[in-house]
Amino acid sequence: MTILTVALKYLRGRPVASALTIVSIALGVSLMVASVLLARGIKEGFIAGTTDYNLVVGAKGSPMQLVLGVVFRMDLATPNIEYTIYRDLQQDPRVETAVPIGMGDAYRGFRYVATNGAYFAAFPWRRKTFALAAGRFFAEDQQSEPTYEALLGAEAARSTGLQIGDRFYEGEEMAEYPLTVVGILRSTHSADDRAIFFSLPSYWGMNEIARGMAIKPLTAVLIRPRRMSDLPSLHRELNVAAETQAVLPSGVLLTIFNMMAVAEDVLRMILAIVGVIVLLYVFVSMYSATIERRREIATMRALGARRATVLGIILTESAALATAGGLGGIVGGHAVAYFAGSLLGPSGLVTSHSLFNVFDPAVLASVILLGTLAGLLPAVLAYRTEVAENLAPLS
Amino acid sequence: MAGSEEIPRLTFAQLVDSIRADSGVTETIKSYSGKEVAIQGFIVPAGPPDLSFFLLSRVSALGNYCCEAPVGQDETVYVFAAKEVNITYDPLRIFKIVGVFEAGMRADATYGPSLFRVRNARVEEALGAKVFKTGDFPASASKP
Repeated sequence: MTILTVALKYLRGRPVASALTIVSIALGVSLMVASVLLARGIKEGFIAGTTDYNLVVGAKGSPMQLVLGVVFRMDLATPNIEYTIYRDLQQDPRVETAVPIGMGDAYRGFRYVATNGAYFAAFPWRRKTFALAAGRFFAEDQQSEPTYEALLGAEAARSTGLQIGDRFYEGEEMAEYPLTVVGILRSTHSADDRAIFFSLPSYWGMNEIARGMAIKPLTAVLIRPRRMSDLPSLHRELNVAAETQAVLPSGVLLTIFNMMAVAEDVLRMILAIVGVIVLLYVFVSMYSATIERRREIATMRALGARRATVLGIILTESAALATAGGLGGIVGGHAVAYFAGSLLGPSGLVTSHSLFNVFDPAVLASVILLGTLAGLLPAVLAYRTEVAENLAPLS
Repeated sequence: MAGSEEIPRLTFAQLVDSIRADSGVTETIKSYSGKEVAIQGFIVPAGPPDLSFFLLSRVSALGNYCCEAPVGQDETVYVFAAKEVNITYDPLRIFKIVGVFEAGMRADATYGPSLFRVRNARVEEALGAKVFKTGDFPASASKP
């Protein structure tokens, strides 16, 4: 019989204790794997979902609110700026593309985003592409003749069940200005999937106050400079101006990542404690098993088993438990991350990591090593078992 | 591998002084092209938030109420990071980048035209750093 065979036989001999140890290791490893994958998925989701535009111009206030509202639709819209700011930026020689954005209301939680065709245009520098799943883009209508045509993001269409030709509104004051669905976008895996787009004239036409304003309101303007090197001066000018603030969306996201890093540090500490608890559990389990088996071990020694063989059996048992728990934990962790990613995926803010990666063998190796180490003290105890002392009559 | 101390440091002052009237650059600064250099400045996150691309600026572009704004290509360097940048971003902190320097006008399909670029860049905090202004030169500035 080999050491492995004996070790596995011992484990099978106490199935409940072995299964519980494997489950506890698997739960601990699952928790760690799932936490790491989800934290990474959230960060990558933010990176993937960010805008291709380099500057967001809006009213004075919180830069984070501006970016979270305009780019990620996760916050309330900032106060309005005047449409003339967009016009001025359009004519600025440093600006290649300026896209106006109007925000405010929502239909069943899906934010209304008023803009123009430039928002969906393909540029050589753009990563994100917009394609229609059905219908067409909304009409570029005149200010005097709003068409109230709506283009739905993929998730907005799926969740609301709205189809091409459907008319909808939310709130009785909007009943006079229902929107008509003319198109549905393919998924972009970003917050745009959860938006309802329509033209600026429709946006102004729906609101009684905006209808009466000589200079129409906007929420923000997205900017792409001709030269990146003009970005700092544009940023500074728009911030020093009394009416506007300019925000680098990547700067805001990096600030959010810095804040997330603090939470990740806390999570890391909690996971480390979980790891220690699991290792202690393995240690206690192996220690109890060794104490219970002292007579058996003494018998083995009396029958000629070497001390090193006894040591090897206990360490192999620990390694086998850790291997089974580690494998179960990695599979479980990926499964949890996959399902959580699927649940959160429609928000456009979590990238799902369902596939196994190159780090998994390293995780498994670490679990086996630590699990084996947890069995070291019981193994040494078994190694030092005295034959005469433990084969003495029980009573 | 050579230590960071052996890598020549370029300053924004040197970059500004190297620009000729026709928007070309001097042979001295061109001689650094293709070589690894170190430059210190403030990060302007002009590209994606993974900082695979960003601008390095002589002045902090995001501190709105003091100092001057960087005025254009001569005071910004386009930085293309070698791998994932793992720093705690702070718009008011000076960072040191080390990478392969390129001088001369060139247009990038994604990020447009630039005069100075650093590719395969590594980024680290520049402890005790000083960003030299036009006319100043570090006493220990290395020559090519």
